[in-house]
Amino acid sequence: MKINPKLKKDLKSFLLENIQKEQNRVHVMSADVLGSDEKQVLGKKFSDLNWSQADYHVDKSIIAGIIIKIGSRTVDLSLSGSLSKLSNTLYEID
Amino acid sequence: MKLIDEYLKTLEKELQNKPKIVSEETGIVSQVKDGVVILEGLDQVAYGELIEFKKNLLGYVIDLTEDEVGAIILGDYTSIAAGDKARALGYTLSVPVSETLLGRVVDPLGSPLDGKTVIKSKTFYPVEKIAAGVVKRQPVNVPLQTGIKAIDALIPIGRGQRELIIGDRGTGKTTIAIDTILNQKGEDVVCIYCAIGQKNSKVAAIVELLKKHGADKYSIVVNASASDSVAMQYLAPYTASAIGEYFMDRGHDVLVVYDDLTKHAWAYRQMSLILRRPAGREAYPGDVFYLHSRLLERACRIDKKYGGGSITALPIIETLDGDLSAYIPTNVISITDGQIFLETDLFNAGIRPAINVGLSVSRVGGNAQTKAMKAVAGKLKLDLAQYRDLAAFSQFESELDEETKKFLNRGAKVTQILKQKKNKPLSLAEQVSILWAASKAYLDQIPVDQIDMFETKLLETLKLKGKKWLEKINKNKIMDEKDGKELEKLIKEL
Repeated sequence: MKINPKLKKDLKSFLLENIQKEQNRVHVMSADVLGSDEKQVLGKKFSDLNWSQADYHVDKSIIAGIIIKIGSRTVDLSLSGSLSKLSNTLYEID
Repeated sequence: MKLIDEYLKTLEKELQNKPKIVSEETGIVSQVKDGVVILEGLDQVAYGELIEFKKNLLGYVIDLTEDEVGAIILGDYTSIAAGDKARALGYTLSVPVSETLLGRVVDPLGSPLDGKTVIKSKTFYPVEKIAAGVVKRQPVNVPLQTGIKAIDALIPIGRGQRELIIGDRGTGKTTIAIDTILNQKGEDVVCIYCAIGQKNSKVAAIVELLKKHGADKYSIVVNASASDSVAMQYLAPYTASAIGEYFMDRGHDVLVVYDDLTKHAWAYRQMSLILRRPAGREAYPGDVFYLHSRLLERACRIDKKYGGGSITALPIIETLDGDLSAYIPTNVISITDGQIFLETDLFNAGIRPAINVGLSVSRVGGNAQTKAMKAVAGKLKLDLAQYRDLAAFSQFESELDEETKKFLNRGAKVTQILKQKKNKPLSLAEQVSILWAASKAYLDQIPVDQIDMFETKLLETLKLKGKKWLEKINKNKIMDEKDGKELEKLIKEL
Protein backbone atom coordinates (compact mmCIF):
# COMPACT_ATOMS: atom_id res chain seq x y z
CA MET A 1 0.00 0.00 0.00
CA LYS A 2 1.29 3.40 -0.94
CA ILE A 3 0.74 6.46 1.16
CA ASN A 4 -0.29 9.58 -0.59
CA PRO A 5 2.73 11.97 -0.49
CA LYS A 6 0.41 14.87 0.24
CA LEU A 7 -0.79 13.07 3.34
CA LYS A 8 2.78 12.54 4.46
CA LYS A 9 3.54 16.21 4.01
CA ASP A 10 0.44 17.26 5.88
CA LEU A 11 1.20 14.95 8.77
CA LYS A 12 4.71 16.31 9.02
CA SER A 13 3.60 19.93 9.06
CA PHE A 14 0.90 19.08 11.59
CA LEU A 15 3.43 17.49 13.93
CA LEU A 16 5.85 20.40 13.47
CA GLU A 17 3.09 22.84 14.29
CA ASN A 18 2.23 20.83 17.38
CA ILE A 19 5.84 20.96 18.57
CA GLN A 20 5.96 24.68 17.94
CA LYS A 21 2.77 25.18 19.86
CA GLU A 22 4.12 23.11 22.71
CA GLN A 23 7.25 25.25 22.75
CA ASN A 24 5.30 28.46 22.74
CA ARG A 25 2.82 27.28 25.33
CA VAL A 26 2.43 29.66 28.23
CA HIS A 27 3.08 28.23 31.68
CA VAL A 28 1.94 30.24 34.66
CA MET A 29 3.12 29.44 38.17
CA SER A 30 1.40 31.00 41.11
CA ALA A 31 1.33 30.49 44.85
CA ASP A 32 -2.45 29.98 44.85
CA VAL A 33 -5.03 28.92 42.32
CA LEU A 34 -5.83 31.87 40.07
CA GLY A 35 -9.43 33.03 39.70
CA SER A 36 -10.90 33.84 36.32
CA ASP A 37 -10.74 37.59 36.98
CA GLU A 38 -7.05 37.31 37.73
CA LYS A 39 -6.55 35.34 34.53
CA GLN A 40 -8.34 38.10 32.65
CA VAL A 41 -6.02 40.73 34.09
CA LEU A 42 -3.05 38.63 32.98
CA GLY A 43 -4.50 38.31 29.48
CA LYS A 44 -4.85 42.06 29.25
CA LYS A 45 -1.40 42.82 30.60
CA PHE A 46 0.40 40.35 28.32
CA SER A 47 -1.85 40.63 25.32
CA ASP A 48 0.84 39.44 22.91
CA LEU A 49 0.88 35.95 24.42
CA ASN A 50 -1.40 33.12 23.42
CA TRP A 51 -3.55 32.50 26.48
CA SER A 52 -5.94 29.99 24.99
CA GLN A 53 -3.55 27.08 25.62
CA ALA A 54 -2.09 28.35 28.90
CA ASP A 55 -1.07 25.92 31.63
CA TYR A 56 -1.59 26.91 35.25
CA HIS A 57 0.46 25.41 38.07
CA VAL A 58 0.41 26.04 41.79
CA ASP A 59 3.75 26.25 43.64
CA LYS A 60 3.73 27.38 47.25
CA SER A 61 7.49 28.00 47.28
CA ILE A 62 7.20 31.22 45.27
CA ILE A 63 5.34 32.75 48.26
CA ALA A 64 3.33 35.28 46.24
CA GLY A 65 3.02 36.65 42.71
CA ILE A 66 3.43 34.73 39.49
CA ILE A 67 6.10 33.35 37.18
CA ILE A 68 5.31 33.15 33.48
CA LYS A 69 7.29 30.80 31.24
CA ILE A 70 7.27 30.58 27.46
CA GLY A 71 9.83 28.07 26.24
CA SER A 72 13.11 29.08 27.86
CA ARG A 73 12.01 32.66 28.42
CA THR A 74 10.88 33.49 31.91
CA VAL A 75 9.17 36.50 33.44
CA ASP A 76 9.66 36.41 37.18
CA LEU A 77 7.09 38.48 39.07
CA SER A 78 7.18 36.48 42.27
CA LEU A 79 8.09 37.48 45.80
CA SER A 80 10.69 34.72 46.10
CA GLY A 81 12.40 35.99 42.94
CA SER A 82 12.54 39.56 44.21
CA LEU A 83 13.87 38.37 47.54
CA SER A 84 16.67 36.38 45.95
CA LYS A 85 17.52 39.40 43.78
CA LEU A 86 17.67 41.52 46.91
CA SER A 87 19.94 39.05 48.66
CA ASN A 88 22.24 39.07 45.62
CA THR A 89 22.38 42.86 45.67
CA LEU A 90 23.20 42.86 49.37
CA TYR A 91 25.93 40.30 48.77
CA GLU A 92 27.48 42.46 46.08
CA ILE A 93 27.44 45.58 48.25
CA ASP A 94 29.27 43.77 51.02
CA MET B 1 16.64 73.07 52.15
CA LYS B 2 16.74 72.74 48.40
CA LEU B 3 18.90 69.65 48.69
CA ILE B 4 16.48 67.95 51.01
CA ASP B 5 13.59 68.75 48.72
CA GLU B 6 15.39 67.21 45.80
CA TYR B 7 16.29 64.18 47.82
CA LEU B 8 12.66 63.74 48.91
CA LYS B 9 11.54 63.97 45.30
CA THR B 10 13.91 61.25 44.16
CA LEU B 11 12.86 59.11 47.09
CA GLU B 12 9.23 59.53 46.17
CA LYS B 13 9.98 58.60 42.61
CA GLU B 14 11.84 55.51 43.71
CA LEU B 15 9.01 54.39 45.92
CA GLN B 16 6.48 54.88 43.17
CA ASN B 17 8.48 52.77 40.77
CA LYS B 18 6.45 49.82 39.67
CA PRO B 19 8.25 46.51 39.29
CA LYS B 20 9.73 46.29 35.81
CA ILE B 21 8.56 43.39 33.75
CA VAL B 22 11.54 41.79 32.07
CA SER B 23 11.74 38.40 30.48
CA GLU B 24 14.84 36.32 31.11
CA GLU B 25 16.43 33.37 29.41
CA THR B 26 16.41 30.47 31.83
CA GLY B 27 17.59 26.92 31.83
CA ILE B 28 17.90 23.95 34.11
CA VAL B 29 21.10 22.09 35.00
CA SER B 30 20.94 18.55 33.68
CA GLN B 31 24.50 17.33 34.28
CA VAL B 32 27.36 18.48 36.48
CA LYS B 33 30.83 17.34 35.50
CA ASP B 34 34.31 18.34 36.60
CA GLY B 35 34.05 22.14 36.35
CA VAL B 36 31.59 21.91 33.50
CA VAL B 37 27.78 21.83 33.56
CA ILE B 38 25.34 20.85 30.84
CA LEU B 39 22.06 22.74 30.81
CA GLU B 40 18.70 22.35 29.15
CA GLY B 41 16.71 25.34 28.02
CA LEU B 42 18.54 28.65 27.43
CA ASP B 43 17.39 28.54 23.80
CA GLN B 44 18.48 32.09 22.98
CA VAL B 45 21.84 32.13 24.76
CA ALA B 46 24.94 33.20 22.81
CA TYR B 47 28.42 31.72 22.74
CA GLY B 48 30.59 33.34 25.39
CA GLU B 49 27.63 34.69 27.34
CA LEU B 50 27.60 34.62 31.11
CA ILE B 51 24.95 32.68 32.97
CA GLU B 52 24.14 33.00 36.63
CA PHE B 53 23.34 30.20 39.03
CA LYS B 54 22.14 30.78 42.53
CA LYS B 55 24.30 32.74 44.97
CA ASN B 56 26.24 34.79 42.42
CA LEU B 57 27.92 31.77 40.92
CA LEU B 58 28.71 32.47 37.28
CA GLY B 59 29.11 30.23 34.29
CA TYR B 60 30.59 30.89 30.87
CA VAL B 61 28.95 29.36 27.82
CA ILE B 62 31.51 27.57 25.65
CA ASP B 63 29.46 24.84 24.04
CA LEU B 64 26.20 25.11 22.12
CA THR B 65 24.73 21.94 20.74
CA GLU B 66 21.32 21.36 19.20
CA ASP B 67 19.39 21.13 22.43
CA GLU B 68 21.93 21.54 25.19
CA VAL B 69 24.24 24.23 26.46
CA GLY B 70 27.68 23.54 27.97
CA ALA B 71 29.16 26.06 30.37
CA ILE B 72 32.28 26.23 32.52
CA ILE B 73 31.80 27.27 36.12
CA LEU B 74 33.76 30.25 37.38
CA GLY B 75 34.16 29.30 41.00
CA ASP B 76 33.17 26.41 43.18
CA TYR B 77 31.14 24.01 41.06
CA THR B 78 30.45 21.58 43.88
CA SER B 79 27.50 23.62 45.14
CA ILE B 80 25.61 23.14 41.87
CA ALA B 81 23.19 20.26 41.65
CA ALA B 82 21.19 18.82 38.79
CA GLY B 83 17.85 20.61 38.57
CA ASP B 84 19.23 24.00 39.61
CA LYS B 85 17.99 26.98 37.71
CA ALA B 86 20.25 29.24 35.69
CA ARG B 87 19.58 32.49 33.92
CA ALA B 88 21.42 34.20 31.10
CA LEU B 89 22.86 37.61 31.94
CA GLY B 90 23.06 38.85 28.37
CA TYR B 91 26.68 40.01 28.44
CA THR B 92 30.08 38.42 27.95
CA LEU B 93 32.79 37.92 30.55
CA SER B 94 34.68 41.11 31.40
CA VAL B 95 37.11 42.10 34.11
CA PRO B 96 37.29 45.39 36.00
CA VAL B 97 40.42 47.31 35.00
CA SER B 98 42.00 50.42 36.47
CA GLU B 99 45.33 51.86 37.53
CA THR B 100 44.71 50.53 41.03
CA LEU B 101 45.46 47.03 39.72
CA LEU B 102 49.17 47.82 39.90
CA GLY B 103 50.81 45.97 42.75
CA ARG B 104 47.88 43.60 43.15
CA VAL B 105 47.35 39.86 42.94
CA VAL B 106 44.05 38.95 41.30
CA ASP B 107 42.25 35.88 40.06
CA PRO B 108 41.05 35.51 36.44
CA LEU B 109 37.78 37.28 37.29
CA GLY B 110 39.57 40.32 38.70
CA SER B 111 38.78 39.51 42.34
CA PRO B 112 41.60 40.20 44.77
CA LEU B 113 43.71 37.30 46.06
CA ASP B 114 45.96 39.39 48.27
CA GLY B 115 43.43 40.13 50.99
CA LYS B 116 43.19 43.80 50.05
CA THR B 117 40.14 45.74 48.88
CA VAL B 118 37.98 44.80 45.93
CA ILE B 119 39.09 46.40 42.66
CA LYS B 120 36.49 49.04 41.94
CA SER B 121 36.25 50.36 38.44
CA LYS B 122 33.72 51.62 35.98
CA THR B 123 35.79 50.32 33.10
CA PHE B 124 35.42 46.69 32.15
CA TYR B 125 37.42 44.96 29.45
CA PRO B 126 36.17 41.83 27.70
CA VAL B 127 38.29 38.79 28.43
CA GLU B 128 38.04 37.52 24.86
CA LYS B 129 38.81 40.15 22.27
CA ILE B 130 39.89 40.08 18.65
CA ALA B 131 43.46 41.36 18.32
CA ALA B 132 44.27 44.69 16.71
CA GLY B 133 44.27 44.56 12.91
CA VAL B 134 47.00 45.25 10.40
CA VAL B 135 46.19 48.94 9.97
CA LYS B 136 46.60 49.75 13.63
CA ARG B 137 49.95 48.05 13.99
CA GLN B 138 53.48 49.23 13.62
CA PRO B 139 56.64 47.15 13.25
CA VAL B 140 58.64 46.33 16.35
CA ASN B 141 61.50 48.83 16.65
CA VAL B 142 61.92 49.72 20.32
CA PRO B 143 63.94 47.32 22.48
CA LEU B 144 62.69 45.74 25.66
CA GLN B 145 65.79 45.35 27.79
CA THR B 146 65.70 42.10 29.73
CA GLY B 147 68.81 42.94 31.70
CA ILE B 148 70.22 39.54 30.77
CA LYS B 149 73.44 39.80 28.75
CA ALA B 150 72.92 36.68 26.69
CA ILE B 151 69.41 37.71 25.63
CA ASP B 152 69.96 41.41 25.03
CA ALA B 153 73.07 40.73 22.98
CA LEU B 154 72.17 37.61 21.02
CA ILE B 155 68.37 37.23 21.06
CA PRO B 156 67.14 40.80 21.49
CA ILE B 157 63.47 41.31 22.29
CA GLY B 158 61.49 44.29 21.04
CA ARG B 159 58.39 45.89 22.48
CA GLY B 160 55.37 44.21 20.93
CA GLN B 161 57.22 40.98 20.23
CA ARG B 162 56.18 37.50 21.28
CA GLU B 163 59.21 35.58 22.46
CA LEU B 164 58.78 32.05 23.68
CA ILE B 165 60.79 30.78 26.63
CA ILE B 166 61.02 27.03 26.31
CA GLY B 167 62.86 24.34 28.22
CA ASP B 168 62.61 21.40 30.60
CA ARG B 169 61.51 21.82 34.19
CA GLY B 170 64.08 23.45 36.43
CA THR B 171 66.10 25.14 33.70
CA GLY B 172 65.33 28.68 34.80
CA LYS B 173 62.43 29.64 32.53
CA THR B 174 60.55 31.56 35.19
CA THR B 175 63.79 33.15 36.39
CA ILE B 176 64.39 34.71 32.97
CA ALA B 177 60.84 36.08 32.89
CA ILE B 178 61.05 37.45 36.44
CA ASP B 179 64.48 39.00 35.84
CA THR B 180 63.01 40.76 32.84
CA ILE B 181 60.23 42.15 35.04
CA LEU B 182 62.78 43.28 37.65
CA ASN B 183 64.76 45.08 34.92
CA GLN B 184 61.75 47.22 33.93
CA LYS B 185 62.19 49.40 36.99
CA GLY B 186 61.88 53.04 35.98
CA GLU B 187 61.17 52.11 32.35
CA ASP B 188 57.43 52.90 32.33
CA VAL B 189 56.59 49.31 31.42
CA VAL B 190 53.61 47.71 33.13
CA CYS B 191 54.40 44.07 33.86
CA ILE B 192 51.80 41.35 34.21
CA TYR B 193 52.79 37.93 35.49
CA CYS B 194 50.13 35.35 34.72
CA ALA B 195 50.51 32.08 36.63
CA ILE B 196 48.56 29.19 35.14
CA GLY B 197 48.34 25.96 37.09
CA GLN B 198 51.38 26.82 39.22
CA LYS B 199 51.94 25.91 42.83
CA ASN B 200 50.57 28.61 45.12
CA SER B 201 53.85 28.49 47.07
CA LYS B 202 55.82 29.36 43.93
CA VAL B 203 53.51 32.27 43.12
CA ALA B 204 53.78 33.52 46.70
CA ALA B 205 57.58 33.41 46.42
CA ILE B 206 57.44 35.40 43.18
CA VAL B 207 55.13 38.03 44.69
CA GLU B 208 57.53 38.32 47.61
CA LEU B 209 60.51 38.64 45.27
CA LEU B 210 58.81 41.38 43.25
CA LYS B 211 58.06 43.25 46.45
CA LYS B 212 61.62 42.89 47.70
CA HIS B 213 63.00 44.47 44.53
CA GLY B 214 60.34 47.18 44.47
CA ALA B 215 58.91 45.74 41.27
CA ASP B 216 55.41 45.40 42.69
CA LYS B 217 54.69 49.07 41.98
CA TYR B 218 54.48 48.42 38.26
CA SER B 219 53.46 44.75 38.29
CA ILE B 220 50.23 42.80 38.41
CA VAL B 221 49.97 39.10 39.17
CA VAL B 222 47.08 37.10 37.73
CA ASN B 223 46.93 33.72 39.40
CA ALA B 224 44.95 30.58 38.63
CA SER B 225 46.79 27.99 40.67
CA ALA B 226 46.85 24.24 40.35
CA SER B 227 44.07 24.02 42.94
CA ASP B 228 41.71 26.33 41.03
CA SER B 229 39.23 24.86 38.60
CA VAL B 230 40.34 24.26 35.02
CA ALA B 231 37.89 26.95 33.93
CA MET B 232 39.89 29.53 35.87
CA GLN B 233 43.17 28.20 34.49
CA TYR B 234 41.73 28.39 31.00
CA LEU B 235 40.65 32.01 31.45
CA ALA B 236 43.76 33.34 33.26
CA PRO B 237 45.90 34.25 30.21
CA TYR B 238 42.99 35.94 28.47
CA THR B 239 42.34 38.01 31.58
CA ALA B 240 46.03 38.96 31.77
CA SER B 241 45.82 39.99 28.13
CA ALA B 242 42.67 42.06 28.76
CA ILE B 243 44.37 43.89 31.64
CA GLY B 244 47.38 44.46 29.39
CA GLU B 245 45.12 45.90 26.69
CA TYR B 246 43.72 48.40 29.17
CA PHE B 247 47.19 49.79 29.86
CA MET B 248 48.17 49.57 26.20
CA ASP B 249 45.13 51.62 25.20
CA ARG B 250 46.41 54.29 27.55
CA GLY B 251 49.71 54.43 25.69
CA HIS B 252 51.76 52.33 28.08
CA ASP B 253 54.14 49.58 27.10
CA VAL B 254 53.12 46.31 28.68
CA LEU B 255 55.00 43.08 29.31
CA VAL B 256 52.92 39.95 29.88
CA VAL B 257 54.44 36.67 31.05
CA TYR B 258 52.30 33.56 30.57
CA ASP B 259 53.70 30.94 32.93
CA ASP B 260 53.03 28.45 31.48
CA LEU B 261 51.02 27.64 28.37
CA THR B 262 51.64 23.90 28.61
CA LYS B 263 49.42 23.77 31.67
CA HIS B 264 46.96 26.05 29.92
CA ALA B 265 46.72 23.54 27.09
CA TRP B 266 46.21 20.75 29.65
CA ALA B 267 43.38 22.67 31.26
CA TYR B 268 41.75 23.23 27.90
CA ARG B 269 42.20 19.56 27.01
CA GLN B 270 40.44 18.51 30.20
CA MET B 271 37.55 20.86 29.53
CA SER B 272 37.21 19.73 25.93
CA LEU B 273 37.26 16.04 26.84
CA ILE B 274 34.56 16.57 29.47
CA LEU B 275 32.49 18.41 26.88
CA ARG B 276 32.98 15.38 24.63
CA ARG B 277 34.61 17.28 21.83
CA PRO B 278 36.49 15.04 19.41
CA ALA B 279 40.06 14.50 20.55
CA GLY B 280 42.99 14.83 18.17
CA ARG B 281 46.71 14.34 18.58
CA GLU B 282 47.76 13.69 22.20
CA ALA B 283 44.02 13.97 23.01
CA TYR B 284 44.09 17.74 22.50
CA PRO B 285 41.01 19.14 20.75
CA GLY B 286 41.24 20.40 17.20
CA ASP B 287 41.27 24.07 18.15
CA VAL B 288 44.24 23.92 20.51
CA PHE B 289 46.32 25.86 17.96
CA TYR B 290 43.73 28.63 17.82
CA LEU B 291 43.63 28.59 21.63
CA HIS B 292 47.18 29.95 21.74
CA SER B 293 47.31 31.83 18.45
CA ARG B 294 44.41 34.09 19.36
CA LEU B 295 45.99 34.75 22.74
CA LEU B 296 49.45 35.60 21.44
CA GLU B 297 48.11 37.56 18.48
CA ARG B 298 46.88 40.09 21.03
CA ALA B 299 50.49 41.06 21.64
CA CYS B 300 51.20 43.97 19.34
CA ARG B 301 52.71 47.39 18.92
CA ILE B 302 50.09 50.01 18.13
CA ASP B 303 50.84 52.80 15.69
CA LYS B 304 51.38 56.26 17.15
CA LYS B 305 48.30 57.46 15.26
CA TYR B 306 46.17 55.10 17.30
CA GLY B 307 47.68 55.96 20.65
CA GLY B 308 50.93 54.02 20.66
CA GLY B 309 51.46 51.47 23.39
CA SER B 310 52.43 47.84 23.06
CA ILE B 311 52.04 44.41 24.58
CA THR B 312 55.11 42.21 24.66
CA ALA B 313 54.34 38.59 25.38
CA LEU B 314 56.72 36.12 26.98
CA PRO B 315 54.90 32.79 26.88
CA ILE B 316 56.59 29.92 28.68
CA ILE B 317 56.40 26.31 27.54
CA GLU B 318 57.71 23.36 29.49
CA THR B 319 59.12 20.51 27.42
CA LEU B 320 59.66 16.90 28.43
CA ASP B 321 63.23 15.73 27.96
CA GLY B 322 64.05 18.62 25.66
CA ASP B 323 61.53 17.44 23.08
CA LEU B 324 60.82 20.45 20.89
CA SER B 325 58.80 18.44 18.41
CA ALA B 326 55.94 17.64 20.78
CA TYR B 327 52.52 19.01 19.82
CA ILE B 328 52.18 22.14 21.99
CA PRO B 329 55.85 23.26 21.71
CA THR B 330 55.79 23.14 17.88
CA ASN B 331 52.48 25.00 17.86
CA VAL B 332 53.69 27.82 20.06
CA ILE B 333 57.12 28.00 18.36
CA SER B 334 55.35 28.62 15.06
CA ILE B 335 53.06 31.24 16.57
CA THR B 336 55.74 33.29 18.30
CA ASP B 337 58.42 35.58 16.84
CA GLY B 338 61.28 33.47 18.15
CA GLN B 339 62.25 31.37 21.11
CA ILE B 340 64.75 31.19 23.94
CA PHE B 341 65.67 27.56 24.35
CA LEU B 342 66.97 26.48 27.75
CA GLU B 343 68.82 23.19 28.19
CA THR B 344 69.27 20.96 31.21
CA ASP B 345 72.82 20.00 30.18
CA LEU B 346 73.93 23.61 30.02
CA PHE B 347 72.20 24.34 33.31
CA ASN B 348 74.01 21.47 35.02
CA ALA B 349 77.31 22.54 33.47
CA GLY B 350 76.94 25.81 35.33
CA ILE B 351 76.07 27.95 32.33
CA ARG B 352 73.23 30.02 33.73
CA PRO B 353 71.03 31.30 32.16
CA ALA B 354 71.16 27.97 30.34
CA ILE B 355 70.38 29.42 26.94
CA ASN B 356 71.23 27.34 23.91
CA VAL B 357 72.46 30.16 21.71
CA GLY B 358 72.38 28.06 18.58
CA LEU B 359 68.73 27.03 18.78
CA SER B 360 67.42 30.32 20.17
CA VAL B 361 66.31 32.98 17.73
CA SER B 362 64.55 36.30 17.71
CA ARG B 363 62.85 36.92 14.39
CA VAL B 364 62.01 40.60 14.76
CA GLY B 365 64.05 41.80 17.73
CA GLY B 366 67.16 42.57 15.66
CA ASN B 367 65.53 45.72 14.32
CA ALA B 368 64.88 46.84 17.86
CA GLN B 369 68.39 46.37 19.21
CA THR B 370 70.10 49.56 20.35
CA LYS B 371 73.06 50.82 18.32
CA ALA B 372 75.40 50.48 21.27
CA MET B 373 74.49 46.81 21.70
CA LYS B 374 74.51 46.10 17.97
CA ALA B 375 78.08 47.37 17.77
CA VAL B 376 79.38 44.85 20.30
CA ALA B 377 76.96 41.97 19.70
CA GLY B 378 77.81 41.40 16.05
CA LYS B 379 81.36 40.34 16.82
CA LEU B 380 80.15 38.26 19.75
CA LYS B 381 77.77 36.23 17.61
CA LEU B 382 80.50 35.46 15.13
CA ASP B 383 82.93 34.42 17.87
CA LEU B 384 80.37 32.10 19.41
CA ALA B 385 79.36 30.53 16.11
CA GLN B 386 83.00 29.79 15.25
CA TYR B 387 83.57 28.43 18.74
CA ARG B 388 80.62 26.05 18.44
CA ASP B 389 81.88 24.72 15.13
CA LEU B 390 85.39 24.18 16.42
CA ALA B 391 84.55 22.96 19.92
CA ALA B 392 82.91 19.78 18.66
CA PHE B 393 85.62 19.23 16.08
CA SER B 394 88.61 19.90 18.32
CA GLN B 395 87.73 17.18 20.80
CA PHE B 396 89.21 14.60 18.43
CA GLU B 397 92.25 16.64 17.47
CA SER B 398 95.17 16.74 19.83
CA GLU B 399 97.34 19.19 17.97
CA LEU B 400 95.72 22.44 17.08
CA ASP B 401 97.16 25.36 15.20
CA GLU B 402 97.47 28.78 16.80
CA GLU B 403 94.48 30.25 14.99
CA THR B 404 92.14 27.49 16.19
CA LYS B 405 93.41 27.77 19.72
CA LYS B 406 92.69 31.47 19.64
CA PHE B 407 89.12 30.88 18.55
CA LEU B 408 88.60 28.23 21.21
CA ASN B 409 90.03 30.49 23.88
CA ARG B 410 87.88 33.43 22.78
CA GLY B 411 84.74 31.25 22.68
CA ALA B 412 85.32 29.90 26.15
CA LYS B 413 85.73 33.44 27.47
CA VAL B 414 82.61 34.69 25.72
CA THR B 415 80.60 31.76 27.05
CA GLN B 416 81.90 32.58 30.49
CA ILE B 417 81.02 36.26 30.16
CA LEU B 418 77.45 35.47 29.17
CA LYS B 419 76.83 33.76 32.50
CA GLN B 420 74.81 35.84 34.90
CA LYS B 421 73.51 35.39 38.44
CA LYS B 422 69.76 35.31 38.86
CA ASN B 423 67.78 38.37 39.93
CA LYS B 424 70.70 40.62 39.00
CA PRO B 425 69.69 42.34 35.79
CA LEU B 426 72.27 44.70 34.29
CA SER B 427 71.66 48.05 32.66
CA LEU B 428 72.40 48.56 28.98
CA ALA B 429 75.66 50.41 29.65
CA GLU B 430 76.90 47.74 32.05
CA GLN B 431 76.17 45.03 29.51
CA VAL B 432 77.82 46.97 26.72
CA SER B 433 80.96 47.59 28.76
CA ILE B 434 81.49 43.91 29.55
CA LEU B 435 80.68 42.68 26.08
CA TRP B 436 82.90 45.35 24.56
CA ALA B 437 85.78 44.12 26.68
CA ALA B 438 85.14 40.59 25.47
CA SER B 439 84.89 41.55 21.81
CA LYS B 440 88.11 43.61 21.97
CA ALA B 441 90.08 40.63 23.26
CA TYR B 442 90.75 42.05 26.72
CA LEU B 443 89.65 38.78 28.26
CA ASP B 444 91.91 36.53 26.21
CA GLN B 445 94.75 36.77 28.73
CA ILE B 446 92.56 36.21 31.79
CA PRO B 447 92.04 32.61 32.98
CA VAL B 448 88.44 31.37 32.73
CA ASP B 449 87.94 31.09 36.49
CA GLN B 450 88.92 34.72 36.99
CA ILE B 451 86.52 36.16 34.42
CA ASP B 452 83.81 36.47 37.04
CA MET B 453 86.15 38.53 39.22
CA PHE B 454 87.13 40.73 36.27
CA GLU B 455 83.45 41.43 35.60
CA THR B 456 82.70 42.43 39.18
CA LYS B 457 85.79 44.62 39.28
CA LEU B 458 84.90 46.30 36.01
CA LEU B 459 81.36 47.04 37.15
CA GLU B 460 82.61 48.42 40.46
CA THR B 461 85.14 50.66 38.77
CA LEU B 462 82.52 51.88 36.35
CA LYS B 463 80.22 52.74 39.22
CA LEU B 464 83.00 54.62 41.00
CA LYS B 465 84.87 56.36 38.20
CA GLY B 466 82.72 55.93 35.13
CA LYS B 467 79.37 57.09 36.36
CA LYS B 468 79.13 59.71 33.64
CA TRP B 469 80.02 57.15 31.01
CA LEU B 470 77.30 54.78 32.21
CA GLU B 471 74.70 57.53 32.25
CA LYS B 472 75.68 58.71 28.79
CA ILE B 473 75.41 55.26 27.21
CA ASN B 474 72.13 54.51 28.98
CA LYS B 475 70.69 57.78 27.76
CA ASN B 476 71.94 57.94 24.18
CA LYS B 477 72.07 54.19 23.60
CA ILE B 478 74.96 54.80 21.21
CA MET B 479 78.63 53.99 21.74
CA ASP B 480 81.07 55.88 19.54
CA GLU B 481 84.86 55.75 19.29
CA LYS B 482 85.35 58.31 22.01
CA ASP B 483 83.29 56.24 24.44
CA GLY B 484 85.32 53.22 23.45
CA LYS B 485 88.56 55.01 24.25
CA GLU B 486 87.23 56.12 27.60
CA LEU B 487 86.22 52.57 28.46
CA GLU B 488 89.59 51.28 27.29
CA LYS B 489 91.30 53.62 29.69
CA LEU B 490 89.20 52.34 32.58
CA ILE B 491 89.79 48.70 31.72
CA LYS B 492 93.53 49.21 31.47
CA GLU B 493 93.52 50.70 34.95
CA LEU B 494 92.14 47.49 36.41
